[in-house]
Amino acid sequence: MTSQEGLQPERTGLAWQRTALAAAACTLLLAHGAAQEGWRAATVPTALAALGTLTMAVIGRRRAHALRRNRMPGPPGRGQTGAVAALVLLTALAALLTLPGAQP
Amino acid sequence: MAAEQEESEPDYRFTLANERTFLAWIRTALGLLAGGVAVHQLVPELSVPGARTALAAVCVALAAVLAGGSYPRWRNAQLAMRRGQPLPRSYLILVLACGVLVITAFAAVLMVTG
Repeated sequence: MTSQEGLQPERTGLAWQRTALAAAACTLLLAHGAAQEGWRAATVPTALAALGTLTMAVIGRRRAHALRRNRMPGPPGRGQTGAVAALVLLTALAALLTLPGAQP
Repeated sequence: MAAEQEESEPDYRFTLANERTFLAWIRTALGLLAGGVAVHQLVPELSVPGARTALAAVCVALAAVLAGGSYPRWRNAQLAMRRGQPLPRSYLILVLACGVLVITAFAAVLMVTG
């Protein structure tokens, strides 16, 4: 049981990493589309996705460090989770608004 | 009763599980976002004008709903655990299931009609 408990922080750290990787993949896909369309309307969602990826990577790294140090880790700050959710929401909204505009 | 309003941090395993669930919702939203963008970029134009953009828009809109709903869900679950109350009901799973059903049906119709 003890080893199981010890793996929880590690799994959570890896979950942060996976999320940052998913955001990076999303950014690359948006950048690919933006490059094909000549960086017109698609620039805004691409920039937001890049900002989101960077934020998630930084937050995830800090969180993983904190989890490794604390034996009884508390919840992440409201700002951290809120910022991650808000950035993904903003990116999706920006992409949604530029979809019709991206149509040639 | 005063005992019901007392708050204390739950076992850290539950806190971390809640955090991982939040991250899983965020990843689902990111996956749908990527799916929507991929549909728009990679699928050739269909016989129905604007159908491809509509399909992509439904994917991205569902991603926005999930990303927006994931934070309140995480916060409410954390609050309920601190107060020792049962976990609140969440309609996010229903929204996701219905949304994916709509997208699948839409895509199937588009494939049949070309």
